[in-house]
Amino acid sequence: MATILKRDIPYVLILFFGVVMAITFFLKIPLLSEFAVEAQRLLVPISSAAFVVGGVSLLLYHAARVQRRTKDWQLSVVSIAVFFIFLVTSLAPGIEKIHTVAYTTIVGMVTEAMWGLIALFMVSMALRAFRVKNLETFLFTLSCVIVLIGNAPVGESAFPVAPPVLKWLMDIPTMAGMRAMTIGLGLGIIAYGIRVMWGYERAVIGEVRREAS
Amino acid sequence: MMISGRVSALALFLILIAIVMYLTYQGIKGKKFVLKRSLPAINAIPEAIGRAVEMGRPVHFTPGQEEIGGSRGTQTQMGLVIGSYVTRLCAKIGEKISWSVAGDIFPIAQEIYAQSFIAEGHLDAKVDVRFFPRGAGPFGAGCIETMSTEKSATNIMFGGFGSEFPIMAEGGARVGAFQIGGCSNPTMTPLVVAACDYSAISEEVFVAGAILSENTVQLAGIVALDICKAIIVCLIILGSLLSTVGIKTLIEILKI
Repeated sequence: MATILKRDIPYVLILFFGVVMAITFFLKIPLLSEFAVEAQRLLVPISSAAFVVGGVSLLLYHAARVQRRTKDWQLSVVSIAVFFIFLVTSLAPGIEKIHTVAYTTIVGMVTEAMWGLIALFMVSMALRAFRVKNLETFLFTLSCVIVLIGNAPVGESAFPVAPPVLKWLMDIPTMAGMRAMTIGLGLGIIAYGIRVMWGYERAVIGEVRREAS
Repeated sequence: MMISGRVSALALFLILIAIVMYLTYQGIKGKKFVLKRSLPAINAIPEAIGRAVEMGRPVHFTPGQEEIGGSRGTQTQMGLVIGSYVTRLCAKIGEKISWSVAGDIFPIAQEIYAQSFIAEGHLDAKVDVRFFPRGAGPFGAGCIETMSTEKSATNIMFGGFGSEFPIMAEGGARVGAFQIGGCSNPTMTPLVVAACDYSAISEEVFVAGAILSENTVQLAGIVALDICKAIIVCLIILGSLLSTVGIKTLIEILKI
């Protein structure tokens, strides 16, 4: 019974919805198209259910940290408190305004501050990426420098050759590379979809292959 | 009945399915498929885990923060496939691994983590899957926090990444982690290649699951994929040549 619920029924559903979605992509059948739209709406409540599991896990994780008094456990107390404040203010009727104000004044500010800190990581990452180690990284760095100069306001006056080189780079090699990757991506998704519908890829329903590792 | 502009796509789709079915039939009959290419990013995973064991530090894995039904959801699903392989390898040699996930894949990630340990005989393993909020900033910061507090020796990232990728990759680099990345998002591909020690791009991410399985039927799908790619390359070359001499017939046919 457990196998039927955990494996067989999900596969029947995957096969059914996969075939319906494929048909509605190529053929114009009003009834099927309406059904496909409704089916896609089902994703919203299913996804929402996952957030409940995520919220419970988050609480358990921080509760364990507080109980064990691990390093910086006080931050876990703040996390738990904020979790409940936002849960109550968003669910309780009549106090939606508190939720909105708390969101814009606390979450908005904290997010902005965090992006400010993360910006340093982005810059550091860019410097690491531009380090020339071999021919590929040299070409990558060279392209980046040309794109930077070509897009900078001073670039055209300082290096008149940069904008046409930039245009050529973007229109020919970049476009060719992007199209090649997009075609490969599309074919990869189709091949993967066929494997899922035939039941060979099981991770999508949380099942792990037993035969090989 | 047919949606305009999708007839040639349907034809290619049917050709791909026909080739997959034919090669699958051959595989079931006993024919062995040998792939002429290998994926360095996948081959490097055991080495990366071995490095973590030698250093006595854990492995960090993330399939990204994309929703499973979102535009890059298939890449997230492939991330889960590779995650199950990585987790099983870790479970086999008793190495600690933590996952960072966001959104609706959390329950699936938990199940895969637990099942991977159970498959290797660890029935009471603690599931170390961390749930972070969606969004490049919060998710990237969560991954940085996990890697920096645990001093991860290896950071494996496979999924549909956006702007959180450079944040995670920098977090991994700062703790000296050996990094393996895979992403099919064309805008993130240069960063994946630049930031990781080994990388998988474009359809390499999607063939990884089949290569890991070593299953004949799945390998047949990869051979079919390569045949279709060859057909498309031929069509592009033929189309370019015909257009150059002023014949637009092929382009008109593909537009149907």
